Amino acid sequence: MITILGGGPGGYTAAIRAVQLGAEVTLLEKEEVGGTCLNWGCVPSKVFLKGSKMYSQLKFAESYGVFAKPSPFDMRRLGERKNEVKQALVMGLKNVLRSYGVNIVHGEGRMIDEHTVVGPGGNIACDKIILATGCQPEVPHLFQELSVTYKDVFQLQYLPRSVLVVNGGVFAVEMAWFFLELGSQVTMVAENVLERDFEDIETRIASYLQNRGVKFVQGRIASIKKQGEQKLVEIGEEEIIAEELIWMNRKRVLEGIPRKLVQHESVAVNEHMQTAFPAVYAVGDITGSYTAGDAMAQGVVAAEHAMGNTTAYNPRTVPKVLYAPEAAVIGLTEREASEEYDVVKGNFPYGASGRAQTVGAIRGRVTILADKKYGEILGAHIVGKGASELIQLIGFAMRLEATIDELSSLLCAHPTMVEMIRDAGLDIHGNAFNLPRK
Amino acid sequence: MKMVMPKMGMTMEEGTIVEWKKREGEFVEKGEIILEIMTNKVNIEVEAPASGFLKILRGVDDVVLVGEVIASIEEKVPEAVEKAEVSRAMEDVPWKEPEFKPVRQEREVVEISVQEERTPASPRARRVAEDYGVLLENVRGTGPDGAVTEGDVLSYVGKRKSQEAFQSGLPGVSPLAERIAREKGIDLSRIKGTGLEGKITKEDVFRYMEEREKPERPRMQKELEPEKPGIEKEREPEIPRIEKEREPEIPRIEKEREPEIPRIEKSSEIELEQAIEKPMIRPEPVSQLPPIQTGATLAEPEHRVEEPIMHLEKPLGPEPEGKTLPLTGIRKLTAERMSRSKREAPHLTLGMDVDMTEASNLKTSLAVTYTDILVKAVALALRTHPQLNSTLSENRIVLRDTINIGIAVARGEDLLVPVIHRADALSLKKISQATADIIERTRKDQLKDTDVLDGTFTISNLGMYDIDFFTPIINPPEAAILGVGRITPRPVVVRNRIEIREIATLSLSFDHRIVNGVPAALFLKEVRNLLEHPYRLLMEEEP
Repeated sequence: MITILGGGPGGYTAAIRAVQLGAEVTLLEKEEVGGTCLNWGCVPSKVFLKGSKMYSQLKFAESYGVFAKPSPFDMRRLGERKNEVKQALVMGLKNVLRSYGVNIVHGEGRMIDEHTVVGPGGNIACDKIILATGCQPEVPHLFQELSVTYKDVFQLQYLPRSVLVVNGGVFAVEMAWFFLELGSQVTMVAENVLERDFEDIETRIASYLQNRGVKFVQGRIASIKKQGEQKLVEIGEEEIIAEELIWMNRKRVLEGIPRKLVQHESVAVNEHMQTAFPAVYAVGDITGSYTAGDAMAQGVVAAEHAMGNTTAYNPRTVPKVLYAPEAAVIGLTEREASEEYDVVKGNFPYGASGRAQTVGAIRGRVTILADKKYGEILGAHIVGKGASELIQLIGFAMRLEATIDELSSLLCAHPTMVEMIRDAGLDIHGNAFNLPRK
Repeated sequence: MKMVMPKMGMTMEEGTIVEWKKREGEFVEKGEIILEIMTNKVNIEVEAPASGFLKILRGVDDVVLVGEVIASIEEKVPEAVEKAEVSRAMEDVPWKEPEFKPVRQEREVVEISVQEERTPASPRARRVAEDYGVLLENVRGTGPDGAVTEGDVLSYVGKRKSQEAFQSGLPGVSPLAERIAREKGIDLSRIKGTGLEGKITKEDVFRYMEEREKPERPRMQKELEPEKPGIEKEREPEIPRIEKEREPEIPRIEKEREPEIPRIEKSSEIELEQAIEKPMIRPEPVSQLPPIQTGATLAEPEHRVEEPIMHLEKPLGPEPEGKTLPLTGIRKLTAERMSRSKREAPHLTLGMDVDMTEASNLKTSLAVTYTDILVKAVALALRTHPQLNSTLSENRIVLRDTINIGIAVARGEDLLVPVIHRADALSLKKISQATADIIERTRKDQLKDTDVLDGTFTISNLGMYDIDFFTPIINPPEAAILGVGRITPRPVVVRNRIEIREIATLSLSFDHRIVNGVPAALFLKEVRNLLEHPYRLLMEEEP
């Protein structure tokens, strides 16, 4: 008997895997199954980005012979579309969980000891507990009234002409990009544009944003004042005027988790996702990771280990993706890799790819890092169209422990984007087919 | 026609396939050399027993028991090969539907094989079996009356395929792990994979290397502890006096020691056993052959020797300190045989001091070596103690009717045991010639298979490397091995007076399953007698 707190990607993946391995599972969810990802994160933002992309593409359509004038953008209609997609996915997920016989309890759960969770219907005794409580928006109390959170942004009924995005990270950049594509003025207040995993491409992404008109500001928000329809935000010396302030800050939900398990505002886990209590596991945001992909990978590990397998979590082979402007990373960064290995690097620019040229996606680059001695694939970063899917192939090769030579032996249809992966691999020895001789 | 692992000598039980000289499916002529096998560390070339197409059943490095099938010579190209050829050529040749063959032809195939009787099978099963080149007799039928169904054949094919894949080398191993292992010279078959479906991953290789390094220290202690001369020596004087009722005590010594033995087997390196060299009388060859010195150091010489030889780049990640060498060829065979010996044969080692003063005189006057004298003495002693000249095979002790003395010889890093056949019938002079010749040929790598086969007893002399006492490991399937220590002038009591005599310590390791302590002790005493009164060796000389 396994009890899972939280029905987000970490929680529901763990639930399904545990049932597959023969467990009886109770899943507690206080809001909607699917968690942040399905309801207020990945999925809504991807629908929004689809809308903004279609809108902005009309501007480039003329060069392909398409002449169309965009009408004013309708946020409400986009919101409806987002709800349709969300509902379809939530319904699908509920069906899947039901088909597995997962007992879904609607309400909050609180862990009181290693084998007991208090749910809305009383105590639930269990052999193992998987904590997957995720995170919540966080806005300083003082500013709450004049701000919207990342949850609220999907409820906006109009298109603000200017926004101030507070905090960086993939999610924040995606929202900034969304408003950029729709023609809004965007300012970002952030220490770092992206998370540390993206350090090799952070500068490139920041320059994309800047070229599209994003203004970067650093410092603390001192005050927010209402000025007609707009807000006047004081950051250090600067004053920014924006119609909406979007707070991307997230806080891990640690209520209901014994303090003993919490260190530095996250739950400490080992490679099997076990906490200080061996029968209690933690996955997803509360462990310090921040993507749904991580949470799902961890969910599988926790479930399998709880069911007596020795599975371990290897963060190196989980890709991380920024959907717009599209980019993806996996494995070690160049700095990390060079600390441990003698690193060789292969590059391939999008402009040299036949397929990228045909779809007009000539900006971008594929970079693959490998160990010089054994050819181990250490990591990769891709900026450009299709990066979110292309990176998976490298992840797969890494997971199979293919060497860079095997990856470069890929046979591709032509012209395709995947050819860039092969050529980036070949470039390590200067043998790329679509690059001039080195 | 089936081809089996040939028996190349009385004691040969198994052979290792070193190399197939012919490819799968290739036509071979009768008498042509088609493979090389290794037994007793000597490579033997094997001829084709008939003409036909070769179908290889056992791969390189497989250890095969004598009499087991290793290949077959077929009258036509084996179908598996045809298939493989086709699939290899798939890229440019369109897939061809397999030709329909009439059932009668399939009957013929069946008749060639072992069983004559027609296996009940569904027509579809026959068709599929033919397509896959499967003999229906090998398939377990699940249909009515045990008839073979199509599904049975398919699952058999699936099963067989996976087994083949498993045997044909390194199945579940990631390319990266394989590359690392190859460079580090690691035998992947020793690693347990933890990846998907037991696949060996990079981490597994590193973990294995780490673990292999780790137990080194405790293992060495384990190995040395029971071998402290004191333990055996303290008991030794008692043994001759022990009568029947005391006997059970000896097995108890074994019992205590036994649990220790298995720990040694897993480790990849083993104690380099012993080496022999003609001492003193012919100093030139010794100095000409420096590698022997390295090969003959006791205990863990490998690491010390290797370190200067191997130089690898900067270690990577969790890689353990220290260098590795591949465990292949003779090193691998030595490892397997020695660990098998220690594992299977309960070793007991007896030590005894021998006065070599007279032997030393004899050596000088006849211009022979200590080794020659030892061979002769041991051979004569074995005549009266046939139990020590026996082999254990399947619950039977076989008293061997010839006395063939093996001499442990170092060749570079390797250890070989060439054999002086019928040593008891040879004069000391003849033995001297034979040993000189065989040691010379060992050094030059010119041994023939007959030179190393059918040994019945082994002598290992480490005296010239200043070793006083050691516990040799029995060379299976023999019953015992004699270790010879350094000859040094020592003060001894002779007729109540202290005299300086040339003393050496002999150590006899024997298989307690075959011989008990008392007969072994008596044998050792006999050897001592002969060495202390070496004129007896000469008396036997002219028949």
